[in-house]
Amino acid sequence: MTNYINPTKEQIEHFNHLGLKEPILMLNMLKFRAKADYPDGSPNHGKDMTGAQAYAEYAKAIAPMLQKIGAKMQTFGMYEATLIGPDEAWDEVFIMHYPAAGLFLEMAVDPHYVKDVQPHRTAAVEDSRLIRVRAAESPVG
Amino acid sequence: MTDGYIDPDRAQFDAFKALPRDTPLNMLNLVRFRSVAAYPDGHPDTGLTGAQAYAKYGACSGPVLARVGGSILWRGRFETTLIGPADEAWDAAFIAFYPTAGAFLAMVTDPDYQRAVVHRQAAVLTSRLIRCAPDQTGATFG
Repeated sequence: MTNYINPTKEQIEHFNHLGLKEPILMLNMLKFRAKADYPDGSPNHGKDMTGAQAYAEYAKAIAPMLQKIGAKMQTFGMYEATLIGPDEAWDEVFIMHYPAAGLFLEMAVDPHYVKDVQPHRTAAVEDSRLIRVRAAESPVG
Repeated sequence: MTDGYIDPDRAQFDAFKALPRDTPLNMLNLVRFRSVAAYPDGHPDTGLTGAQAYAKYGACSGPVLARVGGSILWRGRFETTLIGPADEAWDAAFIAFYPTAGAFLAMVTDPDYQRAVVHRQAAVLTSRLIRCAPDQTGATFG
């Protein structure tokens, strides 16, 4: 099984080409490592943290950045089971709303994010999906 | 995209049934259509596209969903996968709400649904169906 933690260069380029002004929703599915994987030299290296604890650090660190750009979390519940699909069990599933795709991108390349925020996510996550969607205009029953 | 997850396997269905049946569900659906629907030989709808077959599934299963008290909570339009397999792309992304897991089971065993699901099976190249427990705090979605 291949694990996916960060985007590839191609995926980032494709994201950019989709337009940066539109509001977007990012569907997150996250599986945490049993033990956080902070690299040598990181202040949290050797602290014996769990992946979930590292993700909590990530959430704390990213919160002011999200607030600044007006991003909001839209929860739809706690993961319980995969009824159809591969043998994937997620620890967290949620949707983040960003007022514009460009704001998401600016955050992701912000030196503060890259240096002080993202390392917590990388240490925390064993596997993930991050899917860009647009809200449909009218939900159809 | 080479995987082909169309229906639950036995272990997944058993695990689902072993979870509480009296709690509400939000079911995240991610669906990739076949270009041409794969109906059984001789089926009158042979020749439809996957998208058309899935629309038929929606039209035929919708009344059963409503009868068990379910509804479509949210519907999105897939744009791209930023993290994940590069070829993972979805044609439909939505969340269906069920008042209880039992209501979901009642739907999938309903004779009308059994007739409708033929269209889903013909339409789907691969899919994900992920059960979530709505937050206790209520409708935080939206």
